[in-house]
Amino acid sequence: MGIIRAGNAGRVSGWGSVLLASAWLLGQGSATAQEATASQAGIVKVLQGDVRAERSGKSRPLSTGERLYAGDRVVTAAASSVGFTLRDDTLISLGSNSQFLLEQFAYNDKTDEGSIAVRLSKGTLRYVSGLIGKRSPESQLLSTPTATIGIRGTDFIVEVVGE
Amino acid sequence: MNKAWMSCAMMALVALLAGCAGPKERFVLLPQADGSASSIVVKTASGETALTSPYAAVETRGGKPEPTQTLSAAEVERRYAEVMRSLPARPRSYDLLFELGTDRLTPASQELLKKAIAEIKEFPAGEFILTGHADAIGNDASNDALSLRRARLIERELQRAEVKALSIEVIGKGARDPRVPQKRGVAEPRNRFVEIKIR
Repeated sequence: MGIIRAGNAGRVSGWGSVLLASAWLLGQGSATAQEATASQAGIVKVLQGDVRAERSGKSRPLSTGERLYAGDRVVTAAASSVGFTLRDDTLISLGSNSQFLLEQFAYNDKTDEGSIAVRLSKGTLRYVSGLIGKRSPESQLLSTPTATIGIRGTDFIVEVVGE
Repeated sequence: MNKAWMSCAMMALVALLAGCAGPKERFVLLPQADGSASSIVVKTASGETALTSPYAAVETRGGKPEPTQTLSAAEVERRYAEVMRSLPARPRSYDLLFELGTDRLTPASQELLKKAIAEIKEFPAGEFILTGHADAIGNDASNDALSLRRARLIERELQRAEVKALSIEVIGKGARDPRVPQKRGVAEPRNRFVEIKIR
């Protein structure tokens, strides 16, 4: 549903949404460099164990200080966790055995306008709203396999136990 | 079509064997750091559940919400220790005031800078944005230069104190983005400042 709000055609899940999100980003800018700056979404601040980011079929290990981009899927192994801060000050942490997708992130730091769409397919997430949430709470969307969450300036936890 | 039916049947079988109706999910509202009110609304195919008080929680099975309950802080801390521990430090900012027409901090702001440095020295993977400002006396060119000089002074102070930073961005905004809007040519001490933003 977050994807519908982002201007795309349908609801997809799993790998399909990673590909769709990247295609959407490529459609936005003419140059790859432009895409990179436009979609840089956040920075890893806290990390323990084995945490990887997957994007456009490529997987890379994450470490503190590493950048995250819109379209990145973040996967944590057992006994591993990660915390990252998005450019609008939104804070997100993931517990072990989690699968998370940063479906969409857009932010204008002059006006604090923007939108966030994230998805937790498995595991545990904590979410603390930032400046986008402060300005327009309805521009944030979090989805799980069976639910979406309307966020109103908030700090909360979501746990997806399993299929 | 046939394939979709097959996978449907398979999923139903798996659900039957597991003795549950689809994924189990939990949602917990946490208190705001500043104590203000907040809420979330959990929407599934079978309806909406609003969580409106600290530690209110709802569990869903296959999208079906169970009655809302209130957990204890201790229980949440224990069960969700990983996400509690790995949440990044909250972004913060400081305004440091300067003397008229100079890149010299006011005595109060010298103290504030010391306090700020102590607080942010070990900020994990900190991104610093130092934005200098000037009040609207004098021309744009000199205000731009002055505001940048003020921000650079703070940058040097942070480096001298060996503050760990992932990145430091230094910006001079002249008199274009005042804290307190004021007519051109009117002195406004509150607009002679550098904002340290750390994320």
